[in-house]
Amino acid sequence: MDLRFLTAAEGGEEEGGGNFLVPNGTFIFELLAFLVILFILGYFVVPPIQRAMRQRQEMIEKGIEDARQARERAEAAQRAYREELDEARAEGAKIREKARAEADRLAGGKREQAQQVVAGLHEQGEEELHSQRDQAARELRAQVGTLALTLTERILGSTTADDERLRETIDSFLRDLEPEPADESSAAPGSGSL
Amino acid sequence: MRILAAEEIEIGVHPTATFLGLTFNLDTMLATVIAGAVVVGLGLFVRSRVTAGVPNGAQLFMEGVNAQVRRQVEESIGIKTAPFVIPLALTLFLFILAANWLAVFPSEHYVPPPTADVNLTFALALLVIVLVHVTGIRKRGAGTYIKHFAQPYWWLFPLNIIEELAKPVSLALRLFGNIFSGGIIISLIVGLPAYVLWAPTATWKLFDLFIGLIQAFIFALLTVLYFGSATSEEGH
Repeated sequence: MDLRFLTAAEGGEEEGGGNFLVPNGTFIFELLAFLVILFILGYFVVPPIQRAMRQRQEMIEKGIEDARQARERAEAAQRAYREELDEARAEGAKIREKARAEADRLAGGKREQAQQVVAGLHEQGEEELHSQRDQAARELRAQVGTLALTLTERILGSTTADDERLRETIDSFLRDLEPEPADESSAAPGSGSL
Repeated sequence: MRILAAEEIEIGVHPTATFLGLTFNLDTMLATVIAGAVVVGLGLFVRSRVTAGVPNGAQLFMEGVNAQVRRQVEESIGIKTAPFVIPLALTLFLFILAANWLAVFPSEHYVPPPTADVNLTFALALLVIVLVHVTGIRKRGAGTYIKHFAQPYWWLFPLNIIEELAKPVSLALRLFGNIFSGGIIISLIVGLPAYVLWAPTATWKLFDLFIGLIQAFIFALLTVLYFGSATSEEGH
């Protein structure tokens, strides 16, 4: 620096004219110095800082926007899922209802059929029973008649002359035991065979 | 450390040099360079590590100041009207803050806060006021701009002119007075006996930090407001 030192602190008052409120050459230096600082900060420091702040702002805004979209998507998916679930439930209920009705219908038919079969079997069984009983009764009756005759012959020791008449008597006795007259016709061939 | 006696500190006296017929205050210039180096160094440090991710402390500080200034500019001028006010106000704030805080170091004799010299404060105030008027004329046209000094009544023209002249003067002298008086208080305190000296010194220096911050803030704020009043359509 090409500065000539003239004074030290002690001589300042006389040199400066004694009034420190009046600017001197330092003013120019200060102005230039500040302009230099302003230039450096204005061109090299403030723009990158503002850029960084803007980028951060954008990043944050983008993050918020992304989060908002993700939430909307999730909500939409959940809504769709619920709707489908409800639909599926309704469908399921309908199918179940239908199946139950079908089952009822089928079961009703089967029951009726089974009842008919049972009734048929019952009837058949009764008929068989009935005819067997009749047959048994017929056989018994024929045997009773023969037995009674044989017994009478053994007791009396001889063949009775009126064999026909005795048989007639026994048969009529047996007929009297029968409650229904319908059985008489069925009993007759049995006794007749003997 | 040498304890300075009160009579050793002379108020408003600087070691000077003469160059091209002009007198230069060497201590003010040195302090300006230091304060400027701090601000520029901080700025370049932040620039070298600037990130859109998680900022470090220095970047956070710069971003905070930037955001404050930006908001202030947006409110009183509108960013689009005068975007260059942001770096100007930011630099003013940081530089004045650094300059003011030089008062904290016990180096009043060699490196006084440069803001305690009217050369610095007048230089800044003049720069600001010139830029304000240039911006006003550019924004509204020279005729309209000059006419707005005659509002709301023509006879207020002289008063408005005085107000405009008072702006840079008050801007400069407010800063100068506050910081300069801090030096005076220190010079009074050092007149106390050495064994009680530390308490008022520490207290005052803490307060000085606060004053330095407030004054830097006021200077930058008023700068923004002056720009605002010069560019606004409705005049004063």
